[in-house]
Amino acid sequence: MARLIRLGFQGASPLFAPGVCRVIRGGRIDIKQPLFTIDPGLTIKTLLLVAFAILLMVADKQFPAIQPLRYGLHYLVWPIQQLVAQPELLGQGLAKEFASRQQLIEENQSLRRANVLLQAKLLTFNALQAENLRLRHLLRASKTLPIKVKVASLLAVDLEPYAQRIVINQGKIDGAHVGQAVIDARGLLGQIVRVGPYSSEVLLISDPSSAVPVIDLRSGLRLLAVGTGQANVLELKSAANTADIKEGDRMVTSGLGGRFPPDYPVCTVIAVIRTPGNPFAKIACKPDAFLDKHRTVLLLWNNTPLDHSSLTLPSTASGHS
Amino acid sequence: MNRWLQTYLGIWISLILALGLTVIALPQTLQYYRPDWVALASIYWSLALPRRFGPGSAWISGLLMDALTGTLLGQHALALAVLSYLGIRFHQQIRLQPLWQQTLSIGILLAIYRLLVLWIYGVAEQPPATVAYWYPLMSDLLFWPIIYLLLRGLRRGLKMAQ
Repeated sequence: MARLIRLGFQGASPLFAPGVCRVIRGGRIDIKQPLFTIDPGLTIKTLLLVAFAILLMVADKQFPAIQPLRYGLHYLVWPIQQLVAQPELLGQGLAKEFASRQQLIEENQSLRRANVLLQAKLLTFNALQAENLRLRHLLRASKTLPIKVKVASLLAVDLEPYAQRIVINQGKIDGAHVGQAVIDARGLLGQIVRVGPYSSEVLLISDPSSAVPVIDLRSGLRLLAVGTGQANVLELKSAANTADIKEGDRMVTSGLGGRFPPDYPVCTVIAVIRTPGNPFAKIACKPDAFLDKHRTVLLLWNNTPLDHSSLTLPSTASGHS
Repeated sequence: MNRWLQTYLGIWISLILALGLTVIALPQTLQYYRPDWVALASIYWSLALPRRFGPGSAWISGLLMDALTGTLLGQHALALAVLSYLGIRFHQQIRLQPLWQQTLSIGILLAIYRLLVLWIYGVAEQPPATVAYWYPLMSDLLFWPIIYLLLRGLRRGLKMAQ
């Protein structure tokens, strides 16, 4: 007990005078409680920690050199992510286990039907591709590069609720890298903004800090699709009030900027508001991909040479808002 | 010695569970009411065992939380360190209060914590400019008595050292 007694009053504020409990037993004094329950260096320790946290935040925001630290922390939090994703996986496993024979047969039939349809569509695809290549050759246009695709699945992990982000189960070990485009079966989902060893963070196109260069399939108008923070609507920026755009127009990635590969569907225009006197039209666009209910996604490897070391967190939106 | 091991084990297992609850998948509508589990756990340990859990430990759990939720590294570390500091500073007063009054005091501390996090959001990127940002405070107040009783049970069950 004696080791709990501390000498000196320097750090202890009189407002929080320490409670001392003395028990007198036959003339001997036993001190039952520590003299100071509050560490005298507490304030200075907290101030140092706060200063260090501020330094860390500035470094995280400004200098990419700090990224190895985050990468290392990913190893530490990976078990927690796995732990949290288990109930979801268990649920899926149980659903598989208890699916009835009838259900499986029906599912199998519908998949077979879909497969036949897709194969029929593919029949003419090869001929079209060859023709396209010939025409491009005639026009002396640059060749389009083949794109590699890999299936990834979502981890059932929620990030901070104020940003539109998801976590997928592909990390650096699987070859994922920052800036990579992510799609689902219907359209563009977003891009990878952080890569950990076994998982990556995907910034959805609906996040306010995301901007995708798009092109109108009907009129060829080039625009920018910026997220609004809601999963079901994007905003198309930089369209002049008189621009040729109307409801139902389909937007695909234009490939400008080199971040997203061209020709992937992004969104469909649902409303155009033109205010006389305003130089720009306000356009709402509904994403083609299911931004809020996807389980299986596809990672694209765009084979255009791109310097990935220069890619950091996107700051595209700031220039256009 | 064994008791010390039990103490730290108990503290960190509860914190890891809190970190897990922070990212566990919830339906969209419930996401905005998710309590600050890590903040609740750190404030309990700061009040109950101020000599075993302090701003340093809170800082580390905040850093793990930042890595887990993808926020700026140091954002929650800063706020949790300050929260733990306030908890230790006032632990003698708060410990003596009856549970309902204690819940209000915890509410004030957690409001300061959320304000700090919001302030950093504001400085670094777009702040969540909705009133929805403050909803978790309500669930915090609802969950505090439960957390308090659960962690007190853990502390007594493991006979944690002061």
